[in-house]
Amino acid sequence: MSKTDILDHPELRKVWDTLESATRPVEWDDLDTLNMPGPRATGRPNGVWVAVVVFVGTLVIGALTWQLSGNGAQPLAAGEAAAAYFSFASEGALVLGEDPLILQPAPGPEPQFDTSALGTEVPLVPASTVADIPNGFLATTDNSADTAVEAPLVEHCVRTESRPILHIGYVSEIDARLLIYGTVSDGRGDYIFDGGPGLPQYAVAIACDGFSGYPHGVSGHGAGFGNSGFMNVEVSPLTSVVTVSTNEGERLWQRPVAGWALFPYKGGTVTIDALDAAGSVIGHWEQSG
Amino acid sequence: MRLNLQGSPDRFHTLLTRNEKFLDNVQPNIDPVCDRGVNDEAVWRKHSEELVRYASILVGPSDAEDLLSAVVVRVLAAKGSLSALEDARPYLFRAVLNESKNHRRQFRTPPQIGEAVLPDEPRPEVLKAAMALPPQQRAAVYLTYWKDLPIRETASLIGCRPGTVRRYLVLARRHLKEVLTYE
Repeated sequence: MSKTDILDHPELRKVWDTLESATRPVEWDDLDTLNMPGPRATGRPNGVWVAVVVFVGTLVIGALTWQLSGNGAQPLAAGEAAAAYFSFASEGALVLGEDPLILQPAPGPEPQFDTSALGTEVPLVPASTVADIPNGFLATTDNSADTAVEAPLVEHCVRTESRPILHIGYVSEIDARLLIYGTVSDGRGDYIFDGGPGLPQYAVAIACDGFSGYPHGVSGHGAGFGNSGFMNVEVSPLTSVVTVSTNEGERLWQRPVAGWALFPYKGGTVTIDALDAAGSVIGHWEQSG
Repeated sequence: MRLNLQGSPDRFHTLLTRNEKFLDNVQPNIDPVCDRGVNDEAVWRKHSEELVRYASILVGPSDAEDLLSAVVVRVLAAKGSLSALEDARPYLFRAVLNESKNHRRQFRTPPQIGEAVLPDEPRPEVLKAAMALPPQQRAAVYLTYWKDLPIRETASLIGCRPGTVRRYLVLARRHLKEVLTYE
Protein backbone atom coordinates (compact mmCIF):
# COMPACT_ATOMS: atom_id res chain seq x y z
CA MET A 1 0.00 0.00 0.00
CA SER A 2 1.38 3.32 -1.00
CA LYS A 3 2.23 5.91 1.61
CA THR A 4 0.06 8.29 -0.35
CA ASP A 5 -2.87 5.91 -0.37
CA ILE A 6 -5.78 7.97 0.89
CA LEU A 7 -7.26 4.90 2.57
CA ASP A 8 -4.31 5.03 4.92
CA HIS A 9 -4.63 8.79 5.39
CA PRO A 10 -4.13 10.02 8.97
CA GLU A 11 -7.46 11.81 8.84
CA LEU A 12 -9.22 8.58 7.98
CA ARG A 13 -7.35 6.75 10.71
CA LYS A 14 -8.72 9.35 13.11
CA VAL A 15 -12.21 8.33 12.05
CA TRP A 16 -11.64 4.68 12.89
CA ASP A 17 -9.91 5.63 16.11
CA THR A 18 -12.75 7.93 17.09
CA LEU A 19 -15.41 5.33 16.44
CA GLU A 20 -13.54 2.59 18.23
CA SER A 21 -12.80 4.83 21.19
CA ALA A 22 -16.45 5.69 21.59
CA THR A 23 -17.45 2.08 22.10
CA ARG A 24 -18.02 0.40 25.42
CA PRO A 25 -17.83 -3.29 26.21
CA VAL A 26 -20.97 -5.29 25.56
CA GLU A 27 -21.26 -8.17 27.94
CA TRP A 28 -23.42 -11.18 27.25
CA ASP A 29 -26.03 -9.96 29.69
CA ASP A 30 -26.07 -6.54 28.05
CA LEU A 31 -27.55 -8.01 24.92
CA ASP A 32 -31.21 -7.28 24.47
CA THR A 33 -33.04 -10.24 25.94
CA LEU A 34 -36.50 -9.31 24.79
CA ASN A 35 -36.18 -10.98 21.45
CA MET A 36 -33.93 -13.81 22.45
CA PRO A 37 -35.36 -17.17 21.43
CA GLY A 38 -36.09 -19.06 24.61
CA PRO A 39 -35.45 -18.27 28.26
CA ARG A 40 -32.18 -16.57 29.00
CA ALA A 41 -32.06 -16.73 32.74
CA THR A 42 -28.81 -18.61 32.40
CA GLY A 43 -27.68 -16.56 29.45
CA ARG A 44 -28.39 -19.46 27.14
CA PRO A 45 -31.47 -20.55 25.21
CA ASN A 46 -33.43 -23.46 26.55
CA GLY A 47 -32.06 -26.64 25.06
CA VAL A 48 -35.38 -28.31 24.33
CA TRP A 49 -36.74 -25.17 22.73
CA VAL A 50 -33.66 -24.83 20.61
CA ALA A 51 -33.81 -28.47 19.61
CA VAL A 52 -37.42 -28.11 18.49
CA VAL A 53 -36.70 -24.91 16.60
CA VAL A 54 -33.61 -26.37 14.98
CA PHE A 55 -35.44 -29.53 14.02
CA VAL A 56 -38.50 -27.81 12.62
CA GLY A 57 -36.44 -25.04 11.06
CA THR A 58 -34.13 -27.54 9.44
CA LEU A 59 -37.04 -29.47 8.00
CA VAL A 60 -38.82 -26.41 6.65
CA ILE A 61 -35.82 -24.51 5.40
CA GLY A 62 -34.42 -27.68 3.96
CA ALA A 63 -37.64 -28.40 2.14
CA LEU A 64 -37.81 -24.81 0.98
CA THR A 65 -34.27 -24.85 -0.27
CA TRP A 66 -34.82 -28.18 -1.95
CA GLN A 67 -37.95 -26.88 -3.57
CA LEU A 68 -36.25 -23.77 -4.81
CA SER A 69 -32.92 -25.11 -5.88
CA GLY A 70 -33.71 -28.74 -6.37
CA ASN A 71 -30.36 -29.78 -4.98
CA GLY A 72 -30.68 -30.62 -1.32
CA ALA A 73 -30.64 -28.59 1.85
CA GLN A 74 -27.19 -27.08 1.91
CA PRO A 75 -27.09 -23.47 3.13
CA LEU A 76 -27.04 -21.01 0.30
CA ALA A 77 -24.10 -18.70 -0.21
CA ALA A 78 -24.97 -15.07 -0.85
CA GLY A 79 -24.76 -15.22 -4.64
CA GLU A 80 -26.66 -18.48 -4.65
CA ALA A 81 -29.29 -16.93 -2.41
CA ALA A 82 -29.80 -14.15 -4.91
CA ALA A 83 -30.00 -16.64 -7.75
CA ALA A 84 -32.48 -18.75 -5.81
CA TYR A 85 -34.57 -15.68 -5.09
CA PHE A 86 -34.72 -14.56 -8.68
CA SER A 87 -35.47 -18.10 -9.85
CA PHE A 88 -38.32 -18.28 -7.35
CA ALA A 89 -39.59 -14.83 -8.31
CA SER A 90 -39.35 -15.61 -12.00
CA GLU A 91 -41.28 -18.85 -11.89
CA GLY A 92 -44.60 -18.30 -13.60
CA ALA A 93 -43.87 -14.60 -14.04
CA LEU A 94 -45.34 -12.57 -16.86
CA VAL A 95 -42.70 -11.25 -19.22
CA LEU A 96 -43.27 -7.54 -19.64
CA GLY A 97 -40.10 -6.72 -21.52
CA GLU A 98 -37.18 -8.63 -22.93
CA ASP A 99 -34.40 -6.09 -23.24
CA PRO A 100 -33.94 -5.60 -20.40
CA LEU A 101 -35.83 -8.54 -18.97
CA ILE A 102 -38.75 -7.16 -16.96
CA LEU A 103 -41.02 -9.56 -15.14
CA GLN A 104 -44.30 -9.36 -13.33
CA PRO A 105 -44.04 -12.15 -10.74
CA ALA A 106 -47.05 -14.09 -9.58
CA PRO A 107 -48.58 -13.54 -6.15
CA GLY A 108 -48.00 -15.97 -3.30
CA PRO A 109 -50.10 -19.08 -2.71
CA GLU A 110 -53.84 -18.60 -3.12
CA PRO A 111 -55.47 -18.32 0.32
CA GLN A 112 -57.61 -21.34 1.11
CA PHE A 113 -59.46 -19.56 3.89
CA ASP A 114 -61.98 -16.76 4.27
CA THR A 115 -60.19 -13.42 3.98
CA SER A 116 -63.28 -11.32 4.63
CA ALA A 117 -62.48 -10.97 8.33
CA LEU A 118 -58.97 -9.70 7.71
CA GLY A 119 -59.97 -6.09 7.18
CA THR A 120 -59.44 -3.97 4.10
CA GLU A 121 -57.55 -5.39 1.18
CA VAL A 122 -54.77 -3.20 -0.15
CA PRO A 123 -53.99 -4.95 -3.41
CA LEU A 124 -50.66 -4.95 -5.12
CA VAL A 125 -51.72 -4.07 -8.63
CA PRO A 126 -49.63 -5.92 -11.19
CA ALA A 127 -48.44 -4.47 -14.47
CA SER A 128 -49.84 -6.12 -17.54
CA THR A 129 -47.52 -4.41 -19.99
CA VAL A 130 -44.29 -2.49 -19.68
CA ALA A 131 -46.27 0.64 -20.50
CA ASP A 132 -47.83 0.37 -17.04
CA ILE A 133 -44.48 1.18 -15.49
CA PRO A 134 -43.44 4.83 -15.57
CA ASN A 135 -40.49 5.40 -17.83
CA GLY A 136 -38.42 6.78 -15.02
CA PHE A 137 -38.08 3.35 -13.48
CA LEU A 138 -36.64 1.85 -16.59
CA ALA A 139 -34.35 4.56 -17.92
CA THR A 140 -31.43 3.17 -19.82
CA THR A 141 -27.91 4.28 -19.32
CA ASP A 142 -24.55 3.41 -20.76
CA ASN A 143 -22.36 4.71 -17.99
CA SER A 144 -21.33 1.33 -16.71
CA ALA A 145 -19.62 -1.47 -18.57
CA ASP A 146 -22.00 -4.28 -17.76
CA THR A 147 -25.11 -2.22 -17.33
CA ALA A 148 -28.20 -2.37 -19.42
CA VAL A 149 -30.43 -0.45 -17.09
CA GLU A 150 -29.81 1.67 -14.09
CA ALA A 151 -32.66 2.43 -11.77
CA PRO A 152 -32.98 6.18 -11.70
CA LEU A 153 -33.73 6.36 -8.01
CA VAL A 154 -31.01 3.93 -7.15
CA GLU A 155 -27.97 6.04 -7.48
CA HIS A 156 -25.36 3.46 -6.73
CA CYS A 157 -27.04 0.26 -7.72
CA VAL A 158 -25.91 -0.91 -11.09
CA ARG A 159 -27.96 -3.65 -12.59
CA THR A 160 -26.40 -6.79 -13.81
CA GLU A 161 -27.76 -8.20 -17.01
CA SER A 162 -28.13 -11.59 -15.39
CA ARG A 163 -30.99 -10.36 -13.20
CA PRO A 164 -34.44 -9.37 -14.34
CA ILE A 165 -36.26 -6.32 -13.11
CA LEU A 166 -39.18 -7.42 -10.99
CA HIS A 167 -42.30 -5.30 -10.92
CA ILE A 168 -43.84 -6.29 -7.59
CA GLY A 169 -46.86 -4.05 -7.81
CA TYR A 170 -48.51 -0.70 -7.43
CA VAL A 171 -50.51 0.45 -4.40
CA SER A 172 -52.89 3.16 -5.44
CA GLU A 173 -53.71 4.25 -1.87
CA ILE A 174 -50.22 5.63 -1.46
CA ASP A 175 -49.23 6.04 -5.09
CA ALA A 176 -46.27 3.77 -4.43
CA ARG A 177 -44.74 1.24 -6.75
CA LEU A 178 -42.33 -1.46 -5.71
CA LEU A 179 -39.73 -2.80 -8.10
CA ILE A 180 -36.74 -4.96 -7.37
CA TYR A 181 -33.49 -4.63 -9.22
CA GLY A 182 -30.74 -7.18 -8.83
CA THR A 183 -27.52 -5.28 -8.83
CA VAL A 184 -23.87 -5.92 -9.00
CA SER A 185 -22.45 -4.89 -5.73
CA ASP A 186 -20.53 -1.72 -5.61
CA GLY A 187 -21.30 -1.96 -1.95
CA ARG A 188 -24.41 0.16 -2.05
CA GLY A 189 -26.80 -2.32 -3.48
CA ASP A 190 -28.69 -3.57 -0.53
CA TYR A 191 -30.73 -0.51 0.23
CA ILE A 192 -34.31 0.45 -0.07
CA PHE A 193 -34.95 3.71 -1.79
CA ASP A 194 -37.93 5.91 -1.71
CA GLY A 195 -38.46 8.81 -3.94
CA GLY A 196 -38.93 11.50 -1.38
CA PRO A 197 -40.68 14.78 -2.08
CA GLY A 198 -41.98 14.92 -5.60
CA LEU A 199 -41.09 11.32 -6.21
CA PRO A 200 -43.82 9.37 -4.49
CA GLN A 201 -42.91 6.04 -5.98
CA TYR A 202 -39.97 3.97 -5.05
CA ALA A 203 -37.80 1.00 -5.84
CA VAL A 204 -35.79 -1.63 -4.08
CA ALA A 205 -32.41 -2.88 -5.13
CA ILE A 206 -30.93 -6.15 -4.03
CA ALA A 207 -27.22 -6.66 -4.38
CA CYS A 208 -26.07 -9.93 -5.82
CA ASP A 209 -23.37 -10.52 -3.29
CA GLY A 210 -24.88 -8.62 -0.43
CA PHE A 211 -28.10 -10.55 -0.49
CA SER A 212 -28.43 -12.30 2.81
CA GLY A 213 -32.17 -12.22 3.24
CA TYR A 214 -33.21 -15.19 1.13
CA PRO A 215 -34.53 -17.73 1.58
CA HIS A 216 -36.29 -16.21 4.53
CA GLY A 217 -37.27 -19.49 6.13
CA VAL A 218 -40.77 -19.83 7.42
CA SER A 219 -41.26 -16.49 9.00
CA GLY A 220 -39.79 -13.97 6.63
CA HIS A 221 -37.76 -10.90 7.28
CA GLY A 222 -40.05 -8.25 8.71
CA ALA A 223 -40.74 -4.74 7.62
CA GLY A 224 -38.81 -1.74 6.45
CA PHE A 225 -40.26 1.74 6.60
CA GLY A 226 -40.04 4.42 3.99
CA ASN A 227 -40.14 8.15 4.39
CA SER A 228 -43.11 8.61 2.14
CA GLY A 229 -45.90 6.93 4.03
CA PHE A 230 -45.29 3.32 3.19
CA MET A 231 -43.81 0.17 4.60
CA ASN A 232 -42.58 -2.90 2.85
CA VAL A 233 -42.65 -6.39 4.29
CA GLU A 234 -40.40 -9.24 3.28
CA VAL A 235 -42.01 -12.63 3.71
CA SER A 236 -41.27 -16.19 2.80
CA PRO A 237 -42.53 -17.84 -0.40
CA LEU A 238 -44.97 -19.80 1.74
CA THR A 239 -46.85 -16.63 2.63
CA SER A 240 -50.31 -16.33 1.20
CA VAL A 241 -51.52 -13.19 2.99
CA VAL A 242 -49.85 -10.42 4.96
CA THR A 243 -51.93 -8.51 7.49
CA VAL A 244 -51.13 -5.21 9.17
CA SER A 245 -52.89 -3.90 12.26
CA THR A 246 -52.38 -0.40 13.61
CA ASN A 247 -52.83 0.96 17.10
CA GLU A 248 -55.88 2.80 15.82
CA GLY A 249 -57.55 -0.50 15.02
CA GLU A 250 -57.13 -0.34 11.29
CA ARG A 251 -56.58 -3.73 9.67
CA LEU A 252 -55.19 -4.17 6.20
CA TRP A 253 -54.26 -7.23 4.22
CA GLN A 254 -52.51 -8.04 1.00
CA ARG A 255 -51.35 -10.99 -1.04
CA PRO A 256 -47.59 -10.69 -1.36
CA VAL A 257 -45.82 -10.89 -4.68
CA ALA A 258 -42.43 -12.57 -4.96
CA GLY A 259 -42.03 -12.40 -1.21
CA TRP A 260 -42.86 -8.71 -0.85
CA ALA A 261 -45.81 -6.71 0.39
CA LEU A 262 -46.27 -2.95 0.40
CA PHE A 263 -48.62 -1.08 2.72
CA PRO A 264 -49.46 2.47 3.71
CA TYR A 265 -47.78 3.50 6.92
CA LYS A 266 -49.04 6.40 9.02
CA GLY A 267 -46.65 6.05 11.92
CA GLY A 268 -46.72 4.29 15.25
CA THR A 269 -46.30 0.64 16.01
CA VAL A 270 -47.91 -1.85 13.69
CA THR A 271 -48.52 -5.55 14.11
CA ILE A 272 -47.69 -7.58 11.04
CA ASP A 273 -48.63 -11.20 10.45
CA ALA A 274 -47.69 -13.47 7.60
CA LEU A 275 -50.27 -16.20 6.99
CA ASP A 276 -49.83 -19.32 4.93
CA ALA A 277 -52.47 -20.63 2.56
CA ALA A 278 -54.29 -22.35 5.41
CA GLY A 279 -54.46 -19.13 7.38
CA SER A 280 -51.86 -20.12 9.97
CA VAL A 281 -49.55 -17.42 11.25
CA ILE A 282 -46.02 -18.18 10.08
CA GLY A 283 -44.48 -14.78 10.70
CA HIS A 284 -45.24 -12.13 13.29
CA TRP A 285 -43.67 -8.74 13.94
CA GLU A 286 -44.44 -5.66 15.97
CA GLN A 287 -42.49 -2.80 14.50
CA SER A 288 -42.44 0.94 14.11
CA GLY A 289 -40.82 3.21 11.62
CA MET B 1 -45.69 -15.08 -22.11
CA ARG B 2 -44.96 -16.58 -18.70
CA LEU B 3 -41.71 -18.04 -17.59
CA ASN B 4 -41.52 -21.69 -16.72
CA LEU B 5 -38.16 -22.42 -15.22
CA GLN B 6 -39.08 -25.99 -14.32
CA GLY B 7 -39.03 -27.06 -17.93
CA SER B 8 -36.08 -27.16 -20.28
CA PRO B 9 -33.91 -24.08 -19.97
CA ASP B 10 -34.88 -21.35 -22.34
CA ARG B 11 -33.13 -18.12 -23.17
CA PHE B 12 -34.58 -16.40 -20.17
CA HIS B 13 -33.22 -19.02 -17.89
CA THR B 14 -29.89 -18.56 -19.59
CA LEU B 15 -30.21 -14.85 -19.09
CA LEU B 16 -31.01 -15.32 -15.46
CA THR B 17 -28.10 -17.54 -14.70
CA ARG B 18 -25.25 -16.32 -16.87
CA ASN B 19 -22.38 -14.48 -15.32
CA GLU B 20 -23.31 -15.68 -11.89
CA LYS B 21 -20.06 -16.52 -10.17
CA PHE B 22 -21.21 -17.47 -6.75
CA LEU B 23 -19.28 -16.62 -3.68
CA ASP B 24 -17.85 -19.67 -2.09
CA ASN B 25 -17.10 -18.59 1.41
CA VAL B 26 -20.20 -17.22 3.02
CA GLN B 27 -21.64 -20.04 5.07
CA PRO B 28 -19.42 -21.89 7.50
CA ASN B 29 -19.76 -25.60 7.93
CA ILE B 30 -21.93 -26.39 10.92
CA ASP B 31 -21.93 -29.65 12.78
CA PRO B 32 -25.46 -29.76 14.17
CA VAL B 33 -24.52 -31.83 17.18
CA CYS B 34 -21.15 -30.41 18.06
CA ASP B 35 -20.26 -28.72 21.28
CA ARG B 36 -23.73 -27.97 22.50
CA GLY B 37 -22.39 -28.00 26.00
CA VAL B 38 -19.95 -25.20 25.38
CA ASN B 39 -21.08 -21.95 26.84
CA ASP B 40 -22.32 -19.40 24.34
CA GLU B 41 -21.24 -16.74 26.74
CA ALA B 42 -17.66 -17.92 26.44
CA VAL B 43 -17.83 -17.63 22.68
CA TRP B 44 -19.25 -14.17 23.06
CA ARG B 45 -16.55 -13.11 25.50
CA LYS B 46 -13.87 -14.31 23.13
CA HIS B 47 -15.09 -12.23 20.18
CA SER B 48 -17.18 -9.44 21.64
CA GLU B 49 -14.50 -6.78 21.86
CA GLU B 50 -13.62 -6.80 18.20
CA LEU B 51 -17.26 -7.30 17.23
CA VAL B 52 -18.28 -4.24 19.22
CA ARG B 53 -15.64 -2.18 17.46
CA TYR B 54 -16.62 -3.57 14.10
CA ALA B 55 -20.30 -2.85 14.73
CA SER B 56 -19.38 0.66 15.83
CA ILE B 57 -17.61 1.26 12.54
CA LEU B 58 -20.64 0.04 10.63
CA VAL B 59 -23.54 1.66 12.46
CA GLY B 60 -21.93 3.97 14.98
CA PRO B 61 -21.20 3.42 18.66
CA SER B 62 -24.67 4.37 19.82
CA ASP B 63 -26.33 1.60 17.81
CA ALA B 64 -23.62 -1.03 18.09
CA GLU B 65 -25.14 -2.81 21.06
CA ASP B 66 -28.57 -3.05 19.45
CA LEU B 67 -26.99 -4.35 16.29
CA LEU B 68 -25.09 -7.03 18.17
CA SER B 69 -28.22 -8.05 20.06
CA ALA B 70 -29.97 -8.53 16.75
CA VAL B 71 -27.05 -10.55 15.44
CA VAL B 72 -27.06 -12.88 18.43
CA VAL B 73 -30.81 -13.31 18.16
CA ARG B 74 -30.47 -14.28 14.52
CA VAL B 75 -27.59 -16.65 15.10
CA LEU B 76 -29.34 -18.37 17.97
CA ALA B 77 -32.51 -18.67 15.96
CA ALA B 78 -30.64 -20.05 12.97
CA LYS B 79 -28.02 -22.22 14.61
CA GLY B 80 -29.31 -22.81 18.10
CA SER B 81 -26.04 -21.93 19.72
CA LEU B 82 -22.99 -19.77 19.18
CA SER B 83 -20.87 -22.68 20.22
CA ALA B 84 -22.31 -24.73 17.36
CA LEU B 85 -20.47 -22.53 14.90
CA GLU B 86 -17.43 -24.32 13.63
CA ASP B 87 -15.57 -21.10 12.97
CA ALA B 88 -17.39 -18.46 14.93
CA ARG B 89 -15.24 -15.43 14.20
CA PRO B 90 -15.77 -15.06 10.45
CA TYR B 91 -19.38 -16.15 10.80
CA LEU B 92 -20.08 -13.47 13.38
CA PHE B 93 -18.26 -10.81 11.41
CA ARG B 94 -20.35 -11.61 8.37
CA ALA B 95 -23.49 -11.64 10.47
CA VAL B 96 -22.64 -8.20 11.84
CA LEU B 97 -22.08 -6.80 8.35
CA ASN B 98 -25.31 -8.31 7.07
CA GLU B 99 -27.27 -7.01 10.03
CA SER B 100 -25.78 -3.57 9.52
CA LYS B 101 -27.32 -3.53 6.07
CA ASN B 102 -30.70 -4.41 7.52
CA HIS B 103 -30.15 -1.66 10.04
CA ARG B 104 -29.63 0.86 7.28
CA ARG B 105 -32.56 -0.45 5.35
CA GLN B 106 -34.91 -0.19 8.27
CA PHE B 107 -33.75 2.99 9.90
CA ARG B 108 -32.09 4.67 6.97
CA THR B 109 -30.05 6.96 9.11
CA PRO B 110 -26.35 7.56 8.86
CA PRO B 111 -24.27 6.05 11.63
CA GLN B 112 -24.11 8.25 14.68
CA ILE B 113 -20.90 8.54 16.58
CA GLY B 114 -22.49 9.88 19.73
CA GLU B 115 -20.91 12.34 22.08
CA ALA B 116 -17.91 10.39 23.24
CA VAL B 117 -15.18 11.43 20.83
CA LEU B 118 -11.50 11.95 21.20
CA PRO B 119 -10.07 15.43 21.50
CA ASP B 120 -8.20 14.85 18.29
CA GLU B 121 -11.31 14.56 16.18
CA PRO B 122 -11.29 13.99 12.46
CA ARG B 123 -12.47 16.79 10.26
CA PRO B 124 -16.27 16.71 10.02
CA GLU B 125 -16.21 16.36 6.26
CA VAL B 126 -13.89 13.36 6.50
CA LEU B 127 -16.05 11.76 9.15
CA LYS B 128 -19.13 12.41 7.07
CA ALA B 129 -17.53 10.96 3.94
CA ALA B 130 -16.33 7.87 5.79
CA MET B 131 -19.74 7.31 7.31
CA ALA B 132 -21.34 7.72 3.90
CA LEU B 133 -19.38 4.79 2.53
CA PRO B 134 -21.54 1.72 2.03
CA PRO B 135 -21.05 -0.85 4.80
CA GLN B 136 -19.07 -3.27 2.67
CA GLN B 137 -16.65 -0.57 1.55
CA ARG B 138 -16.29 0.81 5.04
CA ALA B 139 -15.68 -2.68 6.37
CA ALA B 140 -13.08 -3.35 3.70
CA VAL B 141 -11.16 -0.16 4.44
CA TYR B 142 -11.39 -0.59 8.19
CA LEU B 143 -10.28 -4.22 8.22
CA THR B 144 -7.57 -3.84 5.62
CA TYR B 145 -6.06 -0.51 6.61
CA TRP B 146 -6.90 0.02 10.26
CA LYS B 147 -6.84 -3.58 11.44
CA ASP B 148 -4.07 -4.28 8.95
CA LEU B 149 -5.51 -7.61 7.89
CA PRO B 150 -4.45 -9.35 4.68
CA ILE B 151 -6.92 -8.99 1.83
CA ARG B 152 -7.76 -12.67 2.06
CA GLU B 153 -8.69 -12.43 5.72
CA THR B 154 -10.69 -9.29 5.10
CA ALA B 155 -12.55 -11.15 2.38
CA SER B 156 -13.27 -13.99 4.77
CA LEU B 157 -14.69 -11.65 7.38
CA ILE B 158 -16.80 -9.73 4.88
CA GLY B 159 -17.94 -12.86 3.09
CA CYS B 160 -16.70 -12.16 -0.38
CA ARG B 161 -13.77 -12.87 -2.65
CA PRO B 162 -10.46 -11.07 -2.36
CA GLY B 163 -11.11 -9.48 -5.73
CA THR B 164 -14.31 -8.03 -4.41
CA VAL B 165 -12.47 -6.53 -1.47
CA ARG B 166 -10.05 -4.85 -3.88
CA ARG B 167 -13.01 -3.51 -5.76
CA TYR B 168 -14.51 -2.13 -2.57
CA LEU B 169 -11.21 -0.42 -1.83
CA VAL B 170 -11.08 1.12 -5.28
CA LEU B 171 -14.59 2.43 -4.91
CA ALA B 172 -13.88 3.73 -1.41
CA ARG B 173 -10.81 5.54 -2.71
CA ARG B 174 -12.95 7.12 -5.37
CA HIS B 175 -15.47 8.34 -2.83
CA LEU B 176 -12.95 9.62 -0.34
CA LYS B 177 -10.56 11.38 -2.66
CA GLU B 178 -12.83 14.40 -2.67
CA VAL B 179 -12.12 15.06 0.98
CA LEU B 180 -8.75 13.40 1.50
CA THR B 181 -5.57 14.51 -0.22
CA TYR B 182 -1.88 14.38 0.55
CA GLU B 183 0.07 17.61 0.46
